[in-house]
Amino acid sequence: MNNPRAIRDNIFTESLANETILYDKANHRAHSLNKTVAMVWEAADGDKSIDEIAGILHDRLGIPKDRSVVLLALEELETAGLIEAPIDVNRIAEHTSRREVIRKLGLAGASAALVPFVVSVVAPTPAMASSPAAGNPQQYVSELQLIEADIAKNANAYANNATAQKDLNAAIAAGNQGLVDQILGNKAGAQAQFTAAATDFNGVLAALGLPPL
Amino acid sequence: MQTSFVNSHVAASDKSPEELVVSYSAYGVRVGLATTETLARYLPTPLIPGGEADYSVDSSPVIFGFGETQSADGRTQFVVSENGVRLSWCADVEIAARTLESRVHQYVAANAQQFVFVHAGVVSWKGKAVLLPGRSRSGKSTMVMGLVNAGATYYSDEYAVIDALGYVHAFQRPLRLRPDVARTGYFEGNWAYNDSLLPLPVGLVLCTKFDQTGVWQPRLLTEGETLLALLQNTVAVRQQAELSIHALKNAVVSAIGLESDRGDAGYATQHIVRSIDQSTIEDR
Repeated sequence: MNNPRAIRDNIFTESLANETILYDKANHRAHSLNKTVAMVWEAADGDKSIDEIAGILHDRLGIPKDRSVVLLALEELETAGLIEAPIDVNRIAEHTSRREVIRKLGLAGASAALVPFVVSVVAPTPAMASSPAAGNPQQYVSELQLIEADIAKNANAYANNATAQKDLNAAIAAGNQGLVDQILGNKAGAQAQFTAAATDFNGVLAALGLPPL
Repeated sequence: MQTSFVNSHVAASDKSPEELVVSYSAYGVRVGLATTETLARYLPTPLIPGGEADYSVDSSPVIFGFGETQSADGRTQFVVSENGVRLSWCADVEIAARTLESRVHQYVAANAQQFVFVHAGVVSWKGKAVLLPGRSRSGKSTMVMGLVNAGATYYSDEYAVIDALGYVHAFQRPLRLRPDVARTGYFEGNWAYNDSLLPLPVGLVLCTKFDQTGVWQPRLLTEGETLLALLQNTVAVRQQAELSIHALKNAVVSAIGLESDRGDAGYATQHIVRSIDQSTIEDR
């Protein structure tokens, strides 16, 4: 069974009184994690098991030592793209509903605020966070040009994908793990960049009152 | 007091009588403007709320142009440009002037140093700032107008300018509403330009969206949700994530966050004023 491992690269964090804000600089998404999820995110280092994380939650937050609380937190993190997946495909068999977790925590006298919860938003581009000038779409021309350039960059990255795949196969065959990691990292970076560009583009379309791609 | 649209900065230009080159400095950003004295009269004073003007553009990294040209069929067109690149052109000088103003404000918002620009309406109520974050056409200006009519002080209908300590500075551009009948037009609301308004701590963040069938049923947001509601409308968050989130954290620490649909603006304003009073924002 895989132990959960949180994604921490390119993540900036800021602590509030009862929540933690995470900002993903790669995908420009921001998340608000309540205390329970934040603690699971911090504990999920790939070494600790779900039972061990449940123990940490019990010790620090005083909630029942229950795997279902951790699993719900991991689901929230997975939905937010903050955990490496798949965590444990077998967990579906022991899936517990949010309502069930609320009931368990309630019976144990824990606060409802500790029920695992994540809120996520996409950070806007400057154009998305401004009023159109007199409703004039011309103001988006420069934004669209930037996005077009961004997508073109990604198109090049994808054009090189076949080469990257050949290199990857060669690296695997040669047992060169460092090179394998580097190629996979490059591909993941290209994917993130493309996703960000598409998000930007949809933002401009939305600002113009048009449907997304 | 109604704001004057005659730009008082134009008179002292040392260029030719008609050519005007002026530089503005605001929030750590320098912006140059090349236009004519005639066209400058269509721009608000000050062009950038809280900004200062001088007549040297040597150190301005960007120069916006506001000029006029003749189209092939002989009609006059008013052109807005940025560093020589045309951004827009149209036959209506008022619309072109609004486009220029908006582009300049966007540039300042995206490049401000030590300030975070959040797309939001802002009024002052009992010594605290009430923020109404929202994208274009979410009805911010209507709500701001309603709250001003109910006794609040107008701070902004476009940007909440938040410093590192979380205080909100006024960004008083002329309050404008979009009439439903003419989406590209504007009319001026009642407001008074006041350059001595003090920065305020945030008392309330109000997330509302107009819906004809909307009913005012506010839900209390958590501190994190309130921060995200502001972040979703923060202009330079992608470029300055740490600065933005740190400032927003300080802004929401003493604030209440509410979210609700709303129908008629006047009706909603009454409820909002009641919510503000009931939430006793001055005690937070």
